[in-house]
Amino acid sequence: MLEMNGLQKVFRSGLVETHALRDFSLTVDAGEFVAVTGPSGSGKTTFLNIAGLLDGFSGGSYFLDGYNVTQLNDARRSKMRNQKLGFIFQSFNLIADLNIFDNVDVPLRYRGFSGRERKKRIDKMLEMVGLLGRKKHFPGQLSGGQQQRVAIARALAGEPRMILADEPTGNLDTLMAKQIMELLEDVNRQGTTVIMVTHDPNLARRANRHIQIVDGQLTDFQMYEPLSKIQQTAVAV
Amino acid sequence: MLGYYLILGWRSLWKTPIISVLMMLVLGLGMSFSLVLLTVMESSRYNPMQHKIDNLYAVQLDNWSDDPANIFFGSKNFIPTAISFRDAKALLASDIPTRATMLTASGAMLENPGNKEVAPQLHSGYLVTRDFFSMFDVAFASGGAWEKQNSYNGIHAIVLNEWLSNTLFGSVDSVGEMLLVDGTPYTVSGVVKGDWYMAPRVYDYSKNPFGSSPGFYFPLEDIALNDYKRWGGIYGWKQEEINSHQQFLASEALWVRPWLEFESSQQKELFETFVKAYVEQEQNNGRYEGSNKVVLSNSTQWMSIQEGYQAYADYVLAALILLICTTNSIALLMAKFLKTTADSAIRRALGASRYSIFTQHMFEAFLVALGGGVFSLLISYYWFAVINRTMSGWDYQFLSQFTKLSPVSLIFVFVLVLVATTLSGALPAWRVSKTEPGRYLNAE
Repeated sequence: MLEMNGLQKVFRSGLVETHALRDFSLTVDAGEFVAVTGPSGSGKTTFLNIAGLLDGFSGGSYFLDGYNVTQLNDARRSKMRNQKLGFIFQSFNLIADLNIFDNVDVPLRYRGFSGRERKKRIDKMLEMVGLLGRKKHFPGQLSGGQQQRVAIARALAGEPRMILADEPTGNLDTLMAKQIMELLEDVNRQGTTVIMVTHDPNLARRANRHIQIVDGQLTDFQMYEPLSKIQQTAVAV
Repeated sequence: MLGYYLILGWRSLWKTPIISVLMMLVLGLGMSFSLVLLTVMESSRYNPMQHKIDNLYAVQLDNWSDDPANIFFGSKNFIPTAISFRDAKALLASDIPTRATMLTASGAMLENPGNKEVAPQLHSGYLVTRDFFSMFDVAFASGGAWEKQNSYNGIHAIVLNEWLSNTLFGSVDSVGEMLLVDGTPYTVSGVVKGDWYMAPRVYDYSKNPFGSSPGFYFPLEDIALNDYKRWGGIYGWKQEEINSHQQFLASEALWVRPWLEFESSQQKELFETFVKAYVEQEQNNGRYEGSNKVVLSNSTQWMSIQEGYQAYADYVLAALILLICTTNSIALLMAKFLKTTADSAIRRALGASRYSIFTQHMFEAFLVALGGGVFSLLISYYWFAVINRTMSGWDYQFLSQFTKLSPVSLIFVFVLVLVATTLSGALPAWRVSKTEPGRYLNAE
């Protein structure tokens, strides 16, 4: 699904060069749930921006779903972002002037779906996240957890192949965070690849795989058994 | 998708109603001021003698100094717009044109000796030759031009404007009545209809072409006998000793406006040949130091030659007003667009291309321009209504021209602002579309 080889990302400010990513190689298979951790400023967000085609890179190669993204122009990259990727952000990033329905509608508009198709998908997604009854509400009228559920509905409405989540529970209380994680796990179980950046080791443990970025490099590479399986084993013992 | 962009543009404008209205109002003001200015300019270029465009011609003779430091700046072609009285007499003597007239603005003290209750009055008029009336389609209420007399011994006939006739003689028809012009007895040969007015005054475009209607017309030939006032421009370059009226008439002072009427181009060419021969002959007599140029201009060309560079200044002024208003509006638009950068970043993350973001903002700029256009129509409508109301008590019909919104100017300014503002929105739209979404999504 995602293949990065020797990726470099250098930010230049005058004479100063900052290497946000250096010789960064990673492969994520379709259907995986990957947790990305690392200290602040380690390059997690840079990685996520590049993975999500929101930012370019200075060297190396990146294949997304078999496409060499280096060769894509802005229109093709945008189309790929729209069709293959879904984003969930820590600060939700809903458009404040649009109601819930219209927020979920945004990626579908750029997808070019008909009005009827869009409505069907939006209703389905809002029902899935339990907010169909509030589709005329504006983001400011919802709690943080509800807003994140809307963001998830928006990310999933276009049925993307991969979800990129940046601290999706960072602004939520424990209960809300648990609900969101369950939602993401659900999505992953249905076959969608999930890459989640988090600071929380407990959340990271719930992923199939946990990778760590330090100083722009992949320093640790661990395979986890899903937490659910560990819990099942513990119960059996 | 275009419909979606329109909805987004509308919502964005609705979100900040005050700034949106302000942008549109600024544009509307700029447009309406330019529109009024252009309408007035267009009205001033109206040629009331268009129907005789191939028949009426003004003549220019280059009787000016040959000193390169002494240039005539009174016309675009640097050739004097008036000729001397002696040249006027020579041209009038030709029987080639169907009609010919020589004229200059004048003024005189008019008095009705039969009615002492009306005090003598100073009025402005014109010294003309009799063909003037038929050449410029002067409409008579009664009588007509004076009889033809090929002499400079005094014709002593006068044509009054209806309002002046009423002032001096009351409501009775004054044709045949006698009055004193600067103390000399004149007989009224005709009365011009009170509502006849030529605007702009093509025959004397350099002198207040939208001025009030002349009160009277009397024979230019009579100036050979009396030193009547000449209120038109007098141009001169030559140092001459002038101690008497006769010396003035024989001088190189340029003050007579010559007009000719031809029925065919052959007739015009024949006349040109005649004038050139005359100029060459005068050169042999030591006159015409400058050149032997002879220029015949139709009425439109004549106005153009004399309007100078004022017209360009008007256009520049109209463009500057528009530019200032458009720039202000764009600055507001820029500020507004840059405030939406975060929203644009979200849209980019969700699949909008730079082109989509750019187009979305261009639609918003278009809506602002459209709103500005509508405002300008409302303001212009109000502005013209005010002018109309202000001038409703005025007698001059020609002023009504200025109170009409010119469709050509309207479409021109509307399209100009629409295109200019929409295109100007391109810069802020481009700036927004170029933002890197990763920077605004608050990821870390």
